[in-house]
Amino acid sequence: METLFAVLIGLLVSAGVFLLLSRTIIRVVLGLTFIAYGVNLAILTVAGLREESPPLLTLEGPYVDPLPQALVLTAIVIGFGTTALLLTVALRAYQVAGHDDVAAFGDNLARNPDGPDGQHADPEHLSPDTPEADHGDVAELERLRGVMR
Amino acid sequence: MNGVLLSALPLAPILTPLGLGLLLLLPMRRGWRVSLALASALLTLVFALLLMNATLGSVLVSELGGWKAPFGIVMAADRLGSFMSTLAAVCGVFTVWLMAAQPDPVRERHHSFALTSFLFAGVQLSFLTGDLFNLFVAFEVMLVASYALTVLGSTREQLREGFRYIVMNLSASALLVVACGLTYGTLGTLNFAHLAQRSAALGPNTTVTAVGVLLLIVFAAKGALFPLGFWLPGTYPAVPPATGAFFAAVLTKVGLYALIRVFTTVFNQDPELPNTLLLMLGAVTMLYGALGAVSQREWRRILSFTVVGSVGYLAFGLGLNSPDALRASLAYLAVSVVVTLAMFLIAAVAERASGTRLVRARGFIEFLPLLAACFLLCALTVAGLPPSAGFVAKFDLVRAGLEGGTTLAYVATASALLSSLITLYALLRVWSGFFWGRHPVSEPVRRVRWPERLPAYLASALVAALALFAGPLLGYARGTADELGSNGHYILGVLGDQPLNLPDRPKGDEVQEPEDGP
Repeated sequence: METLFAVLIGLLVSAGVFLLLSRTIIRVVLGLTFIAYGVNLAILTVAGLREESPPLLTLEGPYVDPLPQALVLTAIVIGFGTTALLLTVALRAYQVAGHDDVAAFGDNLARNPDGPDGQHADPEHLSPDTPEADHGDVAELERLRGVMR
Repeated sequence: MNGVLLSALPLAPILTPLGLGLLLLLPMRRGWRVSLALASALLTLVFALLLMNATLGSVLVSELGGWKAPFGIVMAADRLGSFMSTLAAVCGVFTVWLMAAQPDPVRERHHSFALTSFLFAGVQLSFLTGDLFNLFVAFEVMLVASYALTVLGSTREQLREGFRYIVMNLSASALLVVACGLTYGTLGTLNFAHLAQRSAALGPNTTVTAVGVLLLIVFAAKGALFPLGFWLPGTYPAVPPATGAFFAAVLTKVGLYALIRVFTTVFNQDPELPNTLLLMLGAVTMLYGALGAVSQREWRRILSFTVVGSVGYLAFGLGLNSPDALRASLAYLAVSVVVTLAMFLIAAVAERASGTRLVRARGFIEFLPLLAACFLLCALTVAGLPPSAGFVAKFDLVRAGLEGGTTLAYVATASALLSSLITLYALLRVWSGFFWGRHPVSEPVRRVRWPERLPAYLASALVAALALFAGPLLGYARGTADELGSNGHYILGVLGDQPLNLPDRPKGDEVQEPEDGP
């Protein structure tokens, strides 16, 4: 039973890592979900796997350790939450950037942060805070020199 | 204070921002919201200070639901936990202040105040929790709030960097869950004190060491140690200044706190491999941070790289694994949190005044002389030159490194000295680029109102105060390091002196007594 689970966990995690390395946002999200499920199975395996041993004291023993099952439950809930959030971010990124290609988001370190990626954004979902175009003038500058000195 | 109040005290800094954060979700006027957020941050600070005072001699434990330590969930505050909690609470007050001073209607409509409060709650929970799985939960609470704050406002840059940040941290969280599972499978418990006891009983054990290294990788990713810290310099400048200040000052330090906790209190049986790894990663991270700071030309990108560098120094101090080195790193931790906060607050004012994120604005000493002085003080502190608290802490670190005696320790010490020099160059370049010279008339200067400038000045005053009170700081760090040097105090505080009567973990193959009857 443990061997089967080990193989299954390995498959899930490797599929997850494969998807994580791709360029499409939705595949990345799916990859993370696969990894999360592999991880949850791993915790479940830690408790020991026996078909005939329930984690409930009201049933007849022998029992397995119920704690990892509680941990898995917590991890699943947290996983749902983070996946939902990540999907929302993915959707928003698609709307703002106009494409779902992670690599085409570019590396920000060398570029103008507010510049476009060379793609048209969805005009209905422009980003809410466009940088203000304010250049000031010479008179204002002189006034400030006086005020702030 | 009586016993009930004292045992509830470790819960107070967690529940205050959580409860008031929930209230902040209600529709209300901005003035009310700001006052409530500020009151929550100040109250958290008060509780954290009380906690720090109460943990001077003992470990405070809150048992949730009244279940005793290894069976139930406990919050345990020792000197290290309450120290970190206080630092985070101080940063929280400044963050809320700057958020209040820079109105941002779009983000505030989408509950940036409430999210910040939840972030504080998550950070406090991770400093005060007493077991490994709760640490994972605390990380998730903290990180989900930080994910939301990272992408809130959804500018192009925020989404791009936020997506990378989220994916990186989710992968690290998956590893943390695996590590929790393996720890439970190996040692049969998740409570820090009980884990320490059991791994001590087991002696040096390769499986435990492997779990420790797995945890090291996870916390290195959260704390942005070299190869795993690539997300940091892009993400922190993308968020609004106030939030960025808190992220930079505290969030990476949570990973470092977890490293200190795991490798001093919990798994201190076989320190060889983790320490070597920490020293190597630390040495590379310091240089990476310093060189990265030189390579950038925007305010908060340069500062983000100095944050990476400071994480390297802390990993270096932790990897040396001597009481002196631990004292030095704890002192450096405090200095680094406060000075990072001050630097990001200064950057917020500078960006607001010049209207650009680039540091090549020139001549701002004419308009903001006090800010220029504060920046110089903070730059000296970050680089570790006298007369600053950074010098005291770094000197202590380097001395501990030289006493380390191994080749790797010498190499890491050399790297620390070299990267301090490079950081100094990078920051002086900012100084000469932004503050020095005569301002070109064609460039705009904006008036920055005093509520926005004051937090930068006050945080710089805190940095100066750390230099003045370096003696007490080092004394406190010495006490904390001594307490961490042997984990008996923590174990005794959490588990009590009663012998534990634990049944063996059922393996599932016990023979069931046959029922009476045919």
